[in-house]
Amino acid sequence: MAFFGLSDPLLIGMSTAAVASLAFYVAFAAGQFNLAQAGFMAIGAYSVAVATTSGQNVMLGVTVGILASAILGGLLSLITSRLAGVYLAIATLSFVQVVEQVIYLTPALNGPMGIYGIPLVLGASECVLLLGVIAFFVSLLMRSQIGYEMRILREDPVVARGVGVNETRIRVFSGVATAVIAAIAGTMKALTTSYISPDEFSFGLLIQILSFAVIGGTDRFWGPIVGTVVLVMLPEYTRAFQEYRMVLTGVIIVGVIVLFPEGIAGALLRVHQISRKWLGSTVSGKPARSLSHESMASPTRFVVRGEANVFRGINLKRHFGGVTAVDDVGIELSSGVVHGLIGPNGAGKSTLVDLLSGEQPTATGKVYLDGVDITAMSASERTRLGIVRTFQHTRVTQNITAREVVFSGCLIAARPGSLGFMLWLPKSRAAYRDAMLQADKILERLDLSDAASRYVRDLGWEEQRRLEVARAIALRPRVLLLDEPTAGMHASSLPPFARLVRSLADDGMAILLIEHNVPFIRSTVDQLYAMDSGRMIASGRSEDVLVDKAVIDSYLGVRGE
Amino acid sequence: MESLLHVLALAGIYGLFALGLTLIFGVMEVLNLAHATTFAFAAVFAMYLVGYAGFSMWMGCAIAIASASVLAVLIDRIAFRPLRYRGRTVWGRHVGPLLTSLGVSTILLGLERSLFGIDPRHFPNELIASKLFVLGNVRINLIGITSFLVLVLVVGILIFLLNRTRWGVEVRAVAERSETAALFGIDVERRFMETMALSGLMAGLAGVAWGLTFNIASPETGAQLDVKGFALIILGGMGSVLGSLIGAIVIAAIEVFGGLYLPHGLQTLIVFAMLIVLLLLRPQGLLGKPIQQGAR
Repeated sequence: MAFFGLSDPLLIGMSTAAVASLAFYVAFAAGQFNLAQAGFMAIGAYSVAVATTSGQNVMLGVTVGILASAILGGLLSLITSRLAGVYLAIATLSFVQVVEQVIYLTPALNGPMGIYGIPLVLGASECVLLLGVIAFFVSLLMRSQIGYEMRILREDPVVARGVGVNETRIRVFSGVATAVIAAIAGTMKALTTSYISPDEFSFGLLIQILSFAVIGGTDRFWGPIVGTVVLVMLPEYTRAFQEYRMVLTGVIIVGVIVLFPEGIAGALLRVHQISRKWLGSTVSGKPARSLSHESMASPTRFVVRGEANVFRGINLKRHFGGVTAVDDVGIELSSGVVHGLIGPNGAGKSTLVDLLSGEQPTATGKVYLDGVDITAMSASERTRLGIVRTFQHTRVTQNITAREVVFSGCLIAARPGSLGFMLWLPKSRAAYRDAMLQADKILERLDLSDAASRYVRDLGWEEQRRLEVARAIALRPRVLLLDEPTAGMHASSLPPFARLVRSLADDGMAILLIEHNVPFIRSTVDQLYAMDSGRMIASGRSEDVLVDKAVIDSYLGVRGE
Repeated sequence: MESLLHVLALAGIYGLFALGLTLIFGVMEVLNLAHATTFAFAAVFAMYLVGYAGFSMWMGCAIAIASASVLAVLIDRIAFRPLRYRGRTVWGRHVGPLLTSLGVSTILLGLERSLFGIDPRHFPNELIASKLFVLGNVRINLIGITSFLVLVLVVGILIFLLNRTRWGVEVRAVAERSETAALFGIDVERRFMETMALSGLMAGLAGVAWGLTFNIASPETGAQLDVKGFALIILGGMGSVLGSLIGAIVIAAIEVFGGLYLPHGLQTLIVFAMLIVLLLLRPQGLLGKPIQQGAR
């Protein structure tokens, strides 16, 4: 088979490398700097080599290789689940070294000599086909629930916990997926070259394919494939440069990463965006509207899980070094009620929200939901129980569209799973459609419909703030903790936002609102808590607390003095 | 006794090599894949200067070490500086510099190949042979001992500089958080440059020590050392200077004694298996500080 005049060996090498770089992609998409792929390629290649040269079926070797890699990949990410960044990279790199050395030392695997005489089962067309199939499944995966959870985790583990993503589960999943795809790449290599040796699966290969993946761009699944094609073809078309070919490759690696941090794929996407703008598309470039009154009033009610629930924290305490940020604080939230929390800067308001949401552990005391002690639960577990928070400094996943942010929230709340989506099961597909419809409704409710198809990084401050609230609503909270949601909002947006908060409470949520705007508190809040220096200094009906002597002294001050 | 001296000689080279890597990692939090290239460049360049350009041994080695230092600053300018204030996530901070340093290393390898050729080089034999002397029935390799002493000396100086001088405090502040350090009026870029120059100096020392000990070097010589260096960084504790000294001795001991008593290849297996276990039990390494939030 010839493709655009490419020779068969070139096509084979390219597809194998592209599959391997997809293995990197699956790890990187979840933010895991996992470099174990060369080890799993070796495992895949050797199991198929041993199977075929000892007269067994090819498929047996492939199956064993993939299974062994899946198990080892899961174990490896489980035991390295405390590491991130370069620390994870070095740990997984050590795994590659261990695999290489074990092959060296095992006489049954022919040690450093390698294994000869593997049947050439795969041709160029099969390899390209295999690449296509794997790329297709990876693309489906990234559009499924797990795919979104991976991307959320990649950008910000704090957000991931905040929306209820189980970090360990996602890490193990991506570890297994990367191992399986790498093992497939390994079997492809073995079945197309007839000879393998441990040297081929070393640090050098690893770095080479890593550069393919990153040069191509790890934002989109086709990035690593593009990167592989470009960098494999490069030496073919630069024969004229002879000895300076290496220099050229290096210059391209540095140049792409410095100039296009998102790789070739990122650069292409940007060109695409700009060209759309030039062609006068209506999707982008429309000025953002502030909250309109009609849309906020629209009664899009949600069935909130559970009825009158009480969320309680008692004796909560947290100190940083000598500073006690939260000192023996109790708080009680009931459904259908809007609770306010006021206090001067540094009073411990945000820390209290962290303690309630589980982002930080409390030193003493307990947190109860419906009378059940949830103190020991992690932030993501609490989120899945319906305790959802927003952040004082907006934290929204930047590299997806606004619609996707809310859609991923709906998906995580509905939990339709990923396998059904990838296998095109009607029931699962319907669940995804429902989630999309719901996302659109929520976007409309927050007047973000115009921004829906824009990337979050291109949205204005206020839109991002509202988007964060939209994501919180998508998670179907029973308890909603809003940390200064109106900070930086335009004054004209406040009344509609007040109505939104009111209507959410009417839907049955228990809401806690950190707020500084006293008129806003007066109009929206039923129950008010006041903190100062880590202590709760007053609580009760908001009109009572606002005239409380201690609150006036510490926070509000007296007019005209 | 002889193998003990071997351990020291090897530890000297590994330690000097890893100290440079550790320094960059500790201050800039990047893994420099071009460090091995700097190392190999020093060895090859020293041999070129002494063997072909007719410099004296001392002069050639000194120039080579100084050039390695300059090269490291150059690597910083091309590979690390453009990305330095860009990455917001752990992901962005760690992956970009790793690959740009790979790119720079590829460029350097390509250039070295076309300048010096791909054949391994040697120092003139007559200059090397005299460096071995015999005490009783123990052959002592002076260069090995010297490189270990140099390592101990460098570790001592570094610890003194980092802990006892204003410059050291500034470097540690930059390492902790460069933005805040800049707010205190510390010339952050300059401290980064000096760090790179120092790390290049150590790569140069290690490279020359390697050249004198084994008397063979090519541009690709250091390729295996990068992975070993990373292992050593972890073993000793991320960014800990004293830690990399201990890590170097441990790895050198495993290699030398393992080479004597164990089947070939098992040493490397032990080193990396040990590394994985250590990462699980004590991710901050033997002497490292507990890992902070950001690093995790």
